[in-house]
Amino acid sequence: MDHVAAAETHDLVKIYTDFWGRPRVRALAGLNLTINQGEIFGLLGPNGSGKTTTIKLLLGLLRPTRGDVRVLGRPALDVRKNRDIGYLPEESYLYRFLSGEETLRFYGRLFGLRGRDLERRVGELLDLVRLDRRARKRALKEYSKGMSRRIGLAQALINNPRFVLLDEPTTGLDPIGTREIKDLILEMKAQGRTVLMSSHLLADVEDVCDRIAILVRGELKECGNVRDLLLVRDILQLRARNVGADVGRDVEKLLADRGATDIQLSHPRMTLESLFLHVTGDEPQTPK
Amino acid sequence: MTDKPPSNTGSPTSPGKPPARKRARRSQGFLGVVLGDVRHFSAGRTLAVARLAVKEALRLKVLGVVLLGFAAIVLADLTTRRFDPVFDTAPSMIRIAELVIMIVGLVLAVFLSTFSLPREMASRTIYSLVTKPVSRLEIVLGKAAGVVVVLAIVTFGLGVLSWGYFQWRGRQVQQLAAARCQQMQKASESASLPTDAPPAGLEAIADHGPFRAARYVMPSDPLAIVTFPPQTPARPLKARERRGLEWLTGAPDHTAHWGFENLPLDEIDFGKARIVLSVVPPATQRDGQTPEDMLPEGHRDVLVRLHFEGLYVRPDWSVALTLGADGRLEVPIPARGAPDAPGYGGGRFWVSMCGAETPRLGVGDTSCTILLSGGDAVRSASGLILTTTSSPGRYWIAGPLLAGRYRFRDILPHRIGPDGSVLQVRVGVPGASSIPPEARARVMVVDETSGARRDVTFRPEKRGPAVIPLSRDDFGGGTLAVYVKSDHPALEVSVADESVQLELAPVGDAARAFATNWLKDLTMMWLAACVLAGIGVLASTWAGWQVAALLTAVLFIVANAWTAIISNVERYGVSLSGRTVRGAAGQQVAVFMYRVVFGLLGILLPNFDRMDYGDVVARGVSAPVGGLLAVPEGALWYALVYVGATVVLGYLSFSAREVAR
Repeated sequence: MDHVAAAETHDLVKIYTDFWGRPRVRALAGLNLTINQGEIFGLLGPNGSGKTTTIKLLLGLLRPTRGDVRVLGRPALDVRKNRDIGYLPEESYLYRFLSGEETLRFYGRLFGLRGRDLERRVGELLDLVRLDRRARKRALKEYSKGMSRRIGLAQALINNPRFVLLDEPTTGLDPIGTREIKDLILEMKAQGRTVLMSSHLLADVEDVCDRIAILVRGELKECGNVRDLLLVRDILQLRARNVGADVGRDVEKLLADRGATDIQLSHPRMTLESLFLHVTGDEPQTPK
Repeated sequence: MTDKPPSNTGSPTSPGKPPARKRARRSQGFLGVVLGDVRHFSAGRTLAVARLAVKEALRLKVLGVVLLGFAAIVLADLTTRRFDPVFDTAPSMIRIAELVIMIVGLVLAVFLSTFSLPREMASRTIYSLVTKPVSRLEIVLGKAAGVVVVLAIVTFGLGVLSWGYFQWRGRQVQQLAAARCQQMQKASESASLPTDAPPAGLEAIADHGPFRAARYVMPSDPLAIVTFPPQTPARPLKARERRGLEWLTGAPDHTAHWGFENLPLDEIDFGKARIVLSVVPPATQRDGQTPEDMLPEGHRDVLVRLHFEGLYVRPDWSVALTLGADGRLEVPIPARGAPDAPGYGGGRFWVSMCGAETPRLGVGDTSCTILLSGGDAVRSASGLILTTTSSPGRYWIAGPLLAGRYRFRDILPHRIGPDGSVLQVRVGVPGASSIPPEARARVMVVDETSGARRDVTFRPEKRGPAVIPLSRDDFGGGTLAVYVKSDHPALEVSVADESVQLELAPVGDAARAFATNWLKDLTMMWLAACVLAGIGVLASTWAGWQVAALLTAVLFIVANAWTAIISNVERYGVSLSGRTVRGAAGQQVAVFMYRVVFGLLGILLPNFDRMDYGDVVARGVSAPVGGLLAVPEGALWYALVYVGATVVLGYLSFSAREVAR
C-alpha cells in the first residue's frame, strides 16, 4: 500500500449559486480533511451540514468554489481516479429499465471487464449481496428499497475498489441486511480497503468506524478516533457473569469505602439489533 | 465529552506540498480535464454507454413506432387514390412511405436526443455513471451513438417493411397494366372501337412493374422560338446592334415576351412611367406610303399582358389594346400600392404581346422599352423570346435567325445509362411534296450544366426522325437544351412540340435499381435525422429536455426556412417594414448584409437540402447498382462532420457543468 492519502481536502469551500451566479448557500467553509488508506472513516452531522456535498466534491460531481480535493493522489475531477473507487449514493440511483444482472454487466463494462471475467464478477457480487436468481432477472423498477440498496452496493464494488464511499449505506435495509453491510464494511477494511461512510444512524457508525468527522454548517467541528472520542476517562465500568446479589453489594461497599461517587450497579441491556438477530437466528444472544 | 479539542483539520497535510490553490489551478483546469478525456478516450466504454442508450430506447418501446408507422403507410395508401400506371410517374405509396418515415425519424431524433441526458440528470443515475471511469466525452459520444443506432433501426426497419409492401402492390399494378394492354389489343383487333395502340409506358409497367426506369423523356419546357444563337445582352442593345425581326403570326398562342429585371425603384415615377411597344408593319415603307397604308386600321389590335414576379406580386394585368398607326403603343405602369392593382415592386417583370387578327407583326429585341419617369430614362428588355404555348400543328422556322428550343430539365445523372442515349429529332419542310435535296436542318445540343455544345446537321427525312447518339460527354445530367433550325437561308423547316425526344439509355434492372435508390433514400433520411439528433444532444447538455426539444424543433424549422429566405432576398431584394430599400447602392448593401448574416447562419444551421433524395425515388428513376454509398452532394460526410461538431460542442458544454446540485 502506498502512502498517498485516500482522500484529502485543503481549505475546501463550496458555495452554491443561483442561475445568475449569485451566492445562495455556503455548504462548506474551508474544510481540511485527510482520510488515510485502510481505515473506515465516518462522516457525521445534522441535515445540511455538508456531508453529502463533501462526498460529491470528492467524487467530482461538484466543482469546488475554492480549495483543492484529491482522491487517491489524483484531482477529484480526474476520471482516472474512478478506476479505484466505488460509490453508493444515498439512494440507489440506477437504471430502472435494467435487471440486476444487466446493471452489473453495464458497470462492469465501464471498467473494461469482458466475457467470462465479467460474468464471474457479476455472479460473485450478486451472491455477496444475496440477490436470488429470480431477482437478478427482474427489472430494477420492481425491486424493493432493500433490494435496490443491495444492487447499489454491488455496483459500487464491481471494480474491487481501493476506496469505497458509502452514503447512508444501511438506509432501507432490515436489521439482518444492516448487519451484513456492516460486516462487509469490516471485511473490506480487513482486505486493506478504505471506506468513507456517511450516516444518520450513529450506532452504525460507532460499530464500524475507526475515525469520524462531525460537520456542522459546513465546518469541521470534531475529528478523531472513535474510541478516543467516545472514551469517558473518569468513569470505570465493570462487567462480570455469574455474580450473586451479595457480591454486588460488597463491590458497591468497597467502591464507596474507596471514595467513589455516583456508583450504579445494574444488569446490562442488549441492543434491539442484537435481540432481533438472535430471534431471527442470525446471531447468538450476546449483550453489548 | 472528548479528550481532544475541536479541530478543523482531520489530519495534518503533508509538508512540502505546493499551496492548495496552486495545485487546484494546475490539476483541475478545464483544459486539463478536456485533454485528459481525449487522451484516455476508450471506444469500449463509449460502446457500453451507446448500448445502454439503445437498450433504454428499446425498453421505452420505441420499436412500436415502426409498427405504427407501417400501419400508417398501409392505411394512407389504401385510403387515398390508387396508383394509375399510365399517368403517375411514381406510385403514391412511395411518397406516402417517404413522408411517414421522414416524420417518424425526425420526431424520434428530437425526442430521443433531448431526453436521454436530462433524464439521467433528473433521476440522478448520472451520479452512478460519472463516478465510474467514463469521461464526459465518452458519455456524450455514447449517448449520441445510441440515438444514431436507434434511428437507424427505426428508419431502415420501416424502410424494409415498406419495401415488402411495395413489392406486393407492384405486382398488383403489373397485373392491372397487363390487363389494360390486353383490353386495348382486343379492341384494336376487333376494330369495333377506334383505339390507339397501348402507350409504351403501359407496356413497360406490365413488363417491369412500377419500379421501371423511365426511358423516353419529353421536354420540360414548351417549344419556344428564339433567336439563334440565344443571347442575353448585358446592356441595352443599340439600334445598330438590333437583330433581325421576328414575325408574330397573329395567333393568340404565338406570343412575344420581353423580360425586365431589377428596375431601379427610386427612378421609377409611377405616375408617368410607360411601357412603349413598337412593332414593325408587315411591309417596308416605300416612297409615298403613309403609316395608315403600312398598318391599316382593323389590323392593329393586340393583346398585352403584364406579369410581375417581384416581391410585391399583384394580379397579372391583361388587356386588349390598339396600336397606333405608326405601330407604337404606350402602356402606363400602374401605381404600386393599391392592394388589388398590378404594380412593380422589384424583381422580374414580363411584357407579353400577341396579335389579335393581325397577321405578321414584326417584333425585335428592342421593340419593348420602359420610360422610367416618362422622359429620358429608358430601359430595354433583356431580349425577345417568342413562344407558342401549344402547337396543334407545326411551327415554321424561316431563315438562319430563328430556332426552335426544347429544354429537358433536371435530368439526374442516375437516370442516364452508361451507353446508348439518343436524341430523336423530326423536322419537316412545309409545302413540299418531297424534301428538296438542298434542305438541311441543324441541331445544336447544349449541355447547360457543363456548357458542352455539339452541332449536328442532317437532311430532313419524311419517314422518320433523325437519331443523334449522345455520349455521357455530350450530356452528363442536368439541363439539356436542343435548338433546331433550318440550315439553308431560303428554306424553312417545320417543328412541333413533339419534334424532339430524348431517349435515355436504360440503366439496368429497374427493380434492383429502385432498391438501391430506396436504400439511398433511407440512408439520406437517416442522415437528416442524425443531424437533428446531434443538435438535440448539444441542447440537452445544458437544458432540460422540454427546452432542448423545443429549441431543436425550432432550429429545424429555421434551417429549412433559411434556404427560402436567402433565395427570395437574392431574387427580389430586401424589404424593410414593407418598403423596399431604395437605391441600387442601398439595395446592394442590404443584400450584402443579408448574405453575411445568413451566410453565418448557413454555416451554423444544418442544411437539410443536402440530405434530400426523395425526388429521385419519387420520380421512379433508377440509379447505378452498387453505388449505395454514393449519396449525392457528399451528404454522408456533411452529416458526419455536422454530428461530430455538435457532439464535440455538447461535450464541452457538458464538461463545463456540474452534474449535481
